[in-house]
Amino acid sequence: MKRRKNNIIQLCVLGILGAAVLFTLIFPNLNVHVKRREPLEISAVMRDVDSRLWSGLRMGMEQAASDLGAELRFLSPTSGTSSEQEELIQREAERGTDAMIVLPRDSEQLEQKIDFGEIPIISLESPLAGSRETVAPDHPQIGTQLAGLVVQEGAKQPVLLVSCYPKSSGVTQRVEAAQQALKKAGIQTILYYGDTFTQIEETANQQKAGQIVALDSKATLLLAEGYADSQSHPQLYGVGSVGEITTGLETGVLSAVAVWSEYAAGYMAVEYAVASAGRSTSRTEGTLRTSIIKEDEIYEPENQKLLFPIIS
Amino acid sequence: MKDLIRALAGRMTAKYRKMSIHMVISLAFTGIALAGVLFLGMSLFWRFSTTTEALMEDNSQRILSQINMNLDSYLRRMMRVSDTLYYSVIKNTELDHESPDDWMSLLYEENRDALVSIALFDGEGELVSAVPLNEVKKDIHADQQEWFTQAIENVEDFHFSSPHVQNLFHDPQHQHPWVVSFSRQVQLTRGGDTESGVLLVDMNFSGIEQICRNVELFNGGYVYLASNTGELIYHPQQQLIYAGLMEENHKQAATYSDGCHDITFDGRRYQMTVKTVGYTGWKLVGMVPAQPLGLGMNQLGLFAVSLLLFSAFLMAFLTFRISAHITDPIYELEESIKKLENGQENVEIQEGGCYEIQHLGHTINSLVSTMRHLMDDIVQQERQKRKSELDVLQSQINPHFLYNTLDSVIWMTESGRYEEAIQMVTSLARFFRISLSRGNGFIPIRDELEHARHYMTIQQIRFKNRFTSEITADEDVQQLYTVKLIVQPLLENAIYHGMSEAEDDGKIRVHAYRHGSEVWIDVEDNGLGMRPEVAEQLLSRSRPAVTGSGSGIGVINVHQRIQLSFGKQYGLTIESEPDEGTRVRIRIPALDEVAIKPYRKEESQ
Repeated sequence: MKRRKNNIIQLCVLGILGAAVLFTLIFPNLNVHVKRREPLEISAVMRDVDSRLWSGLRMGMEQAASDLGAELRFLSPTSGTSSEQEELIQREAERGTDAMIVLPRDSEQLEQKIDFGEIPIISLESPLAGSRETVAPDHPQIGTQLAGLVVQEGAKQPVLLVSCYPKSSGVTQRVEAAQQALKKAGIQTILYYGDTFTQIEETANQQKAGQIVALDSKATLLLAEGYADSQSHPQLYGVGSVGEITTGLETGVLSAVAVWSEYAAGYMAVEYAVASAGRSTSRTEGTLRTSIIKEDEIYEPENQKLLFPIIS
Repeated sequence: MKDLIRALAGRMTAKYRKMSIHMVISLAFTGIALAGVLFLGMSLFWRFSTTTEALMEDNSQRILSQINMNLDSYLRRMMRVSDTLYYSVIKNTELDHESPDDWMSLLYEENRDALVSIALFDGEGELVSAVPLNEVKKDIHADQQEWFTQAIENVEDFHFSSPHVQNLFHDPQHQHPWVVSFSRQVQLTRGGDTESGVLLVDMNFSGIEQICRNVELFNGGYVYLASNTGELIYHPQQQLIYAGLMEENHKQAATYSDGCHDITFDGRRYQMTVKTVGYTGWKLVGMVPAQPLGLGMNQLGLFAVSLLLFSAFLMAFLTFRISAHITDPIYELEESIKKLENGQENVEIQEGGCYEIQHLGHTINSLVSTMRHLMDDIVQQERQKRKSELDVLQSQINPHFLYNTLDSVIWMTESGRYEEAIQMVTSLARFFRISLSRGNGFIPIRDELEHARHYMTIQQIRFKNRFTSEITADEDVQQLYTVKLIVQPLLENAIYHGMSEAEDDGKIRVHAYRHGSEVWIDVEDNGLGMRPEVAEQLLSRSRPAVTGSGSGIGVINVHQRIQLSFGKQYGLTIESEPDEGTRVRIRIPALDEVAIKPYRKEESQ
């Protein structure tokens, strides 16, 4: 009986040791197998066909995709309409992409009509119901700061607030904050939603606006390009760090712009997308810092880092 | 605490005492082997870790050296452009009459991939010549820019700026390249006079970036470049750092001397290698995470663990086999001895294993064999002794009877009572024939009763029929067997003790019958009888011998012989009452011809 017990103990010990040897020999192959998973596919659906408006975002997203082993697919509506963006999103959802990054044109419509299913969504600029994360600057702060600049100038004439994205909740927050700040300062505001320069110019002329504040980068770009050759124009303020906007700031067309790192926004969006899809990643920490940069401040060391991303 | 340790030690000692030798050997060998393997493994691991760290350090230093060489080569190239322009062109150019534009353009075109612009300024910060752009921005004062002031202040030295966006020239295309400005003070010749100026060579930052980019160090490490004041020049995650989403220890790194340093940053340990880039004083920093190890190291570590576990497995296996080889023969020996203890016969003592165990087994075998022989001898001797005792006992009965009977035959023959003499001799002959029974100690009850009949015939003649006898037996006991010569001694006693005072009315009766698994033979007489206490004493061994013609030894003799042959549960019982008579009951087992064979076999051995 004792011998039998001893034999059983010995067999158990040998069995455990043998299993441990096998496990340690096989385990690396499991690891390698795990590591060799298919790259994550991420679809980035923009809201405008003009790629200048999201070039900074793209650079950041591409760098993040390269670092994290993901494949990016950029899509933008050719007509620049909400319904086309909606179609693109639906198609990508049906195709079965691993994750999606969306810069919504019409947040409400997307929330109502799109069923994202199990696909993790990261939204840029405006939050979307059902999205895992939103990457955005502080919109009210932007609106308030830009309004503050206007107030500092001692504006007496009405201020035209312009946006090309009336249905973007993020932009709407900026608009509302700017309106509120200007109203508080006793300055009349006129709100205009449109995406052609001539209409904006016409409205400004009609309303005799002394300042025009563009609350999104597309509107800012329109102002920068539209008034580039103009000798006199209202004081212009905007947002964004598109090259033409920076040129407008440098040449004095624009008096000041609110800027945040689009590169960082794009990088964070892809990081969140990869994390939401279940792949582990080291997360950058922090929020998008916004700066108000005036004409004569472009080449400040910190400002040039925001305005001029290093392009490899 | 002491008590606890003592209690623990006591428990372990008690457990050790109960352990089998196999387990003790196995545990001891396995423990020592494992300790050895573990020690070896730890030593190897420590050695491996040390070597790996050294390799990592060496790897980082080599890579940084290579990058440094490349950077150095790149910066030298810029310096060569500057030198060439200064010594070969500017120094030989009278600016009032000539312009260095063409040479500048040539040099620029030759190094277009690396250059953004070349510009020459006078001591007031006014542009003298520049390529490709030559219109300074209206609001730019070159003499207030750092590259200018540094160059003017440090006449003998070159000055390399940190990366910045070029903000000098009016660019119709509105480009904003990132540059590193290389500036130096130069001597300009104008109107025969020499004056100070500054030669500015703006290098394309992408050239530096390409040198440092895509450098991977051990275990996922990376390289970055910082100025000697800690300002970041290049970093793989530069944009994220600029956006405030990541941190790096560039300010700290700038304070370190060249070489390897173990640092902790952001909660992680790193092996930081620092190398100063010549001319610029920039710091090339290699950051290698100390832990966790990358996949490659993990695999190596796992392989090492596999080897250790395999060694442990092999050692354990060998230990178990060796200890089994030593202890199994001991177990088998133990089993054999246990069987012997339990009285099993024909137990084979195993003689296997090592020499000592074999020798032990052989010795035990001899011991057992000798023991068996001795036991056999003892058994034989006991049998012999018993047989002799039986023989002796039997021989005690006969002599007086023969003498007396022969005497009777003589006086009957002399008296002319031939018929009685013939009957007596005949009965005597038959009596002795049955007494001998060819040496058999066991005879049929039929023969025993016939023996008794012949005895009574003789005695009746001798005693002139003073008593009668009746000898009967049930049919079913006639064929059964008994020890011979057990009835006659009792009849003898009955005659000599019971019938001694009889006057023709004495009666002796013998009856044999079955009682269950026994045969009872009752020998009764109506003689004098004896007190019950005397009757009880008759069968006692300690009873002194009673002398007389009927010695009384016969009763004890019969009783002992019956018990010797069949066991203590059989024998005689005596019931007697004074003046009533005596009954002696013989109790023997009912043995037929088949059942008696073992007794006969034993008798013959």
